Amino acid sequence: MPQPQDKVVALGRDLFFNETFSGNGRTCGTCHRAENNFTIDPTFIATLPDNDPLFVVEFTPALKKNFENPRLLREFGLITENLNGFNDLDSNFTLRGVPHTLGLSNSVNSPAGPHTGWSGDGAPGDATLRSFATGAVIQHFTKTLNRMAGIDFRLPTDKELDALEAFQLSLGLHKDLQLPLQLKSPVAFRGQAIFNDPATGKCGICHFNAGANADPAFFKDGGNLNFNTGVEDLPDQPAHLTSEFDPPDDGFGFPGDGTFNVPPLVEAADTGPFFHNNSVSTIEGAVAFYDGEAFNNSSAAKTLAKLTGSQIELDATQIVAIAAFLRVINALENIRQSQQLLNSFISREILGNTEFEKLVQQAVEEIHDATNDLRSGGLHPKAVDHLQKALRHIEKRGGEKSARDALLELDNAREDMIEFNRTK
Amino acid sequence: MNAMKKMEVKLKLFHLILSLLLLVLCFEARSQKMTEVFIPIGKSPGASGKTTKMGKVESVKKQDYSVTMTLDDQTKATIKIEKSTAIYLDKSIQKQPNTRGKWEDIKPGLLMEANYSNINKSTCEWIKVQVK
Repeated sequence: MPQPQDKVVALGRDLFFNETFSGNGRTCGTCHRAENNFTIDPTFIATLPDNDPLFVVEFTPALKKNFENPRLLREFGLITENLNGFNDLDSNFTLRGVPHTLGLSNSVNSPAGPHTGWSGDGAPGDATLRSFATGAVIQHFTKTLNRMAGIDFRLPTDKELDALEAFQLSLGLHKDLQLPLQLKSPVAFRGQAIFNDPATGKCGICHFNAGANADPAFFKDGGNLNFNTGVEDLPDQPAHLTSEFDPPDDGFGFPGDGTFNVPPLVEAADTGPFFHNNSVSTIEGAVAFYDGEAFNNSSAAKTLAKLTGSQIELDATQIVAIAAFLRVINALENIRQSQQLLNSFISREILGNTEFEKLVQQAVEEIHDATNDLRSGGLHPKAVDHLQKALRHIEKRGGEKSARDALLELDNAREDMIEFNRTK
Repeated sequence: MNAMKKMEVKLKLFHLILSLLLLVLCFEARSQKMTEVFIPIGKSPGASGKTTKMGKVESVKKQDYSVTMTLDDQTKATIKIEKSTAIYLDKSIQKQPNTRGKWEDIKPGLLMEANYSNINKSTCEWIKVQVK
């Protein structure tokens, strides 16, 4: 598995954040922001200047019509995708959120084959993650809607595709968690039990070990699967509450079969809004979805009922407990990532690329995320205090010493949340 | 119902299931990659040169929707066009945007690339024809 310090990963990182492929100015990092968990959301979008390439539709006359819906992009973080073809741009499109690119190594290499994008069918060519960048350049980087290679953009070379793939595979967890974890918060611990219980939460059946793969005990070959969970049937979806045209999304294939790809949950708490259409803004709301009519009338719920003998029924305390579990595992992952970034900074393992100087800032973002995950759920105030101390160490800008002091506080925060053995 | 009739019903059911399965496979083969139309002939990532065959169209047989082309090594390959096969027109020589095409657009003398599906190996998933 590609490691952050690999040369090919360093090249991929530079391409991901800086290469426009002679297009409209966007890069992969325009939508998959490192400082925002490799995705974008309305709160983050609001911090961007008007000339950010994300808003290219607002200042490029050739893209004014049928490239993006500027209002839905700004208000709900929705991006236009022409998944069913480019023949009728006025009405044949879907509006989707931006999925993060963390932990892909656990899902794209699953026994079910490469599933990319929200509906699992996002890549041209051989349909792999490697080929995904080619489709993304054509869809999102073009200067005009003619989408002519060599004029409106250039296609990535084989070497660039290799590097972009390696970089994406290096992100996030390289191995799914092994649940159950020895969590110290009784609420998160209980949430974990409900999450894994096939009689109550049932979450682990499709999100085995809180990842993107199915539990092989229920789905023979496991792997990263597609389901129709009824998200499209949710009432009062935010984009539908506007006067903007938001056609139904038929999911995988052409014509679509209504299914969407299962995302990993370890990084869920700080990568909302949730689902392919950004229809739910909080992690608690996303958990509550599985107790609602839209889900319980879906084909996925029927499959689940067949497998387990009942549908999902959760009370408010259980919904909050599952969300607390997701908040805690996300915060733990943020801490792991910030430690990895700080260690890379100390050892200068990642050399010779323009992103190196951003490592500490990325670590800071991760610590902020961990803090928000815990604070917003009323969890682990002591850990939050340690996280704040870690931030204060980094703010001193004392180079290696500050980074080492911060690492110590991050260990303290982790120790407040989970039983673990310090390595030093 | 006698045993013969039962067998007949089972056979019909089997054919129905088989047809539905093939239908699903066809959709799956076409399931994605609508950006493929904009990728010039011979440049499809991970597919061109691996799961594709490329050559000049030699003859077109309307009777059975097949196309014979001469490959670079002068061997011939006959491609069967299915209903599910997408036809893309590469208009880069004309400096025009690529578009979806029709059976009638495949003409002798044109450069063509045919890609076989990863899922159903005998099905031609898409063909690209370079329009002059």
